[in-house]
Amino acid sequence: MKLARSVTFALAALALGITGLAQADNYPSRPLTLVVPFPPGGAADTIGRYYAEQLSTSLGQPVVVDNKPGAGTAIAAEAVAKAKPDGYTLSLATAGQLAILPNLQKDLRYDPVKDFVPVAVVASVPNVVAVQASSKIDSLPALIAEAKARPGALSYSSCGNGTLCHLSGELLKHLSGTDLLHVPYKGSAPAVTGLLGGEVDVAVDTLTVLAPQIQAGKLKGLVLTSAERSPLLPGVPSATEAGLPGFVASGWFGIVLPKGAAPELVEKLSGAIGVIARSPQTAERFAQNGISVEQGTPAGFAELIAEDGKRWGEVIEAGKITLE
Amino acid sequence: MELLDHLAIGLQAAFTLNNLLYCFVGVTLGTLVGVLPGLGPVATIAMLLPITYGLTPSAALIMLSGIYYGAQYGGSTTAILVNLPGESSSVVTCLDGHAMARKGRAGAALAIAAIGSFVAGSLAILLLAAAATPLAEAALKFGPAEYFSLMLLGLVAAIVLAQGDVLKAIAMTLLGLLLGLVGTDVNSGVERFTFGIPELSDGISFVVISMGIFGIAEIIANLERDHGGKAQVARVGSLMPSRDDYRRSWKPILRGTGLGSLLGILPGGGAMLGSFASYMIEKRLAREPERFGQGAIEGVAGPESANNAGAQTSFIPMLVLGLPSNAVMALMAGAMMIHGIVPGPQVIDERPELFWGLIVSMWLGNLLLLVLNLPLVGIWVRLLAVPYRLLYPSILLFCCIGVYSVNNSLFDVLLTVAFGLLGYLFIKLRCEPAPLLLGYLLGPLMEENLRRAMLLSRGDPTVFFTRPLSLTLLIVTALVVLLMCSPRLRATRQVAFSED
Repeated sequence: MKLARSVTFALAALALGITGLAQADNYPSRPLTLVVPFPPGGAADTIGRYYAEQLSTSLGQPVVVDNKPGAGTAIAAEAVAKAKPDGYTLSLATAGQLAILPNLQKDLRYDPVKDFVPVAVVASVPNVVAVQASSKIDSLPALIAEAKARPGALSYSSCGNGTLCHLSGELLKHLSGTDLLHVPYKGSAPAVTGLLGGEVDVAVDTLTVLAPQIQAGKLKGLVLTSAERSPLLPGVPSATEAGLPGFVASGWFGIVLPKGAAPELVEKLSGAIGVIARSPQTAERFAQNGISVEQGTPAGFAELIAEDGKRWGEVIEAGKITLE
Repeated sequence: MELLDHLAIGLQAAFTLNNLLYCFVGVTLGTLVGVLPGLGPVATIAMLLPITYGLTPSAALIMLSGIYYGAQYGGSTTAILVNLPGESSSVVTCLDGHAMARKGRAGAALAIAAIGSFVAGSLAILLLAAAATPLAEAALKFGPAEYFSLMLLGLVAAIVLAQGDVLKAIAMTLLGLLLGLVGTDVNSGVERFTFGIPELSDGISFVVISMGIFGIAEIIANLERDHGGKAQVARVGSLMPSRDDYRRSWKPILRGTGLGSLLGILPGGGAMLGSFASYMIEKRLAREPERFGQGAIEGVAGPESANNAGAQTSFIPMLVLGLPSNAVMALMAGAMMIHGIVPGPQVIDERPELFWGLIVSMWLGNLLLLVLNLPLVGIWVRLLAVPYRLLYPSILLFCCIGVYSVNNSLFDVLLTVAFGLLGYLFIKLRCEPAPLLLGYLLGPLMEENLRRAMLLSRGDPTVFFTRPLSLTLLIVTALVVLLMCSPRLRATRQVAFSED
């Protein structure tokens, strides 16, 4: 009995090993799915669709985008964490999903570090702090001075509780030692509408969302949460130039696989993604939306996830931010 | 005349063979997804988004917007014929539209819905062309305090205007408010009534509730009626509205257009609120409100005009400011991004052919829809002759596909079935579902804006009375409550009751 069982096990292991090898060799041999944790139409969806389209060409198999929105990316993350690690289910993952949410929700049904195999970070977008064009505040130091003179009197809109917009606002408060009233909205469009309509004094949102309003002269950009300026808004100073060098907060997007994916698959995908990332067409495609194309190794992506997770954990603790 | 110059640019852009073709494709598809219950423009546009890569930006936007307003035309068809909202914005059309169909007046209801939609669409587009920018700026003045007061008015009106038992109407509204609480609270991020189910953390989708309570429940209820194997319609009757129908309808169409246009522009607006508001106003203004629910043509003409007007004007914030006010508009912004156009305030100046071409094509699309829909009335009405053992299973199938396609979620399909059973219970208890839907729609908006207004005023409740627009809305609300207590209205209520 015992022998029979071990033989079965050995055979099964062998069979698995063989299919595993065969998998890597002719991978991919059928269509792939790229899970996008947001509804169609936004920045994440645009990035996901572009990479899906490009990967279809380079892998020779269609890559189908599967939008699984909900629960601030947790639904998609859980689905991917439970998917077969055969390399046919990929996911676009965001900083919110891998570095922020785990710090806010203790009862997540997935582990952001252990349940996924990072493949490559593909894109990033910094945030912008903006005020109405008619506001008398015209620089970050002026905003900080005003906020210090009238603690708690100024308010800022964010695209939601526990989002990168919100945490960037909290980071600003933390670094500058000021007190701003946080007013959460249901997404970026109403948050920016809130600033345009004068409900709030300041808005913190992504470069993608705010650049058109700043270019059109409706809003003024005070600072970009990045070490360098963006060609999209040459007039808006970087964090260092604005006198707050630590005020760096970037929303990134990367490709991950479910845990247990074979290293050969990760390598093959990361290679294909690298080629797409280096093509000038890709950079050009995203430049006007303020999205920077990133490239890097699986190890580099893992490091980024861990670093940002720790950093946002500290901001969340310092700002006593809870969703409970 | 600047407007004429602009329209000339638009005509030039819209009347290319390519753009005309995609306009036609868009409105035809829109009519189709409108007719199919559950399947809506959001899912359709999302599915078609990748296909638009190969099109010019104008053609892509023209086609996608055609799907949206085309669905407003198609949605009424299913509502009138089988008492299922083909589109969530045609929920109220079920009330009187289907009652008309039962009396053999389906043709008239379908025709007036199409004509009303066309008139409303044309007027709303004219408004869009003439005053898009100032309207968008004005809508920005509508802050959280104003929003709250408007929602309060809507809720109070919902109870005043409900049929039959006031107590049941209040109970249903409250249940709707409770259902609206499910999900993550915008202000604190706390999850409420989600029972640890991640799928509930964004709340229950309106499509799930409306398909369940109206659609599935109606099908269950139909199983126990005896109607010789056919959907329950006495006779088809005349296909075209009578002179009396037109006389009764023209004012509701105009009022619906006005209301729908205004509510469409507001942030977070769209086609849905307008249709509810229009139904309530028509019932209030009617000389014999007891006709409502029994097949009053005003109850079809008003809401159908309002939802199409709202669909057109909800383009304003997206086109003028680059800020999408609902899911469909977010997809339109996404389509622009695919084509390398950054949605924002600069689009009108930098790409006039795109903006004005879209506007002219929208009117062309509405014309196409009228031409498409009036002859179709005869064909749709014949659909009622299909035996229900064939009709209802296929409707159920489309309901499931439609509900699934909203979030690609199986959970939503199961939840729809649960709401179907609940809806059947309501039919048995003679509880009207319309106030529940309204409570569900308005409750979350009301709470979100109440708390935002209070947050911004640092806890000072006088903000609702010191802002003029908000104060006006509150005064109107108070008047409505006074009217409810007035003896005259109570008398009409009695009449409506005794006729039952």
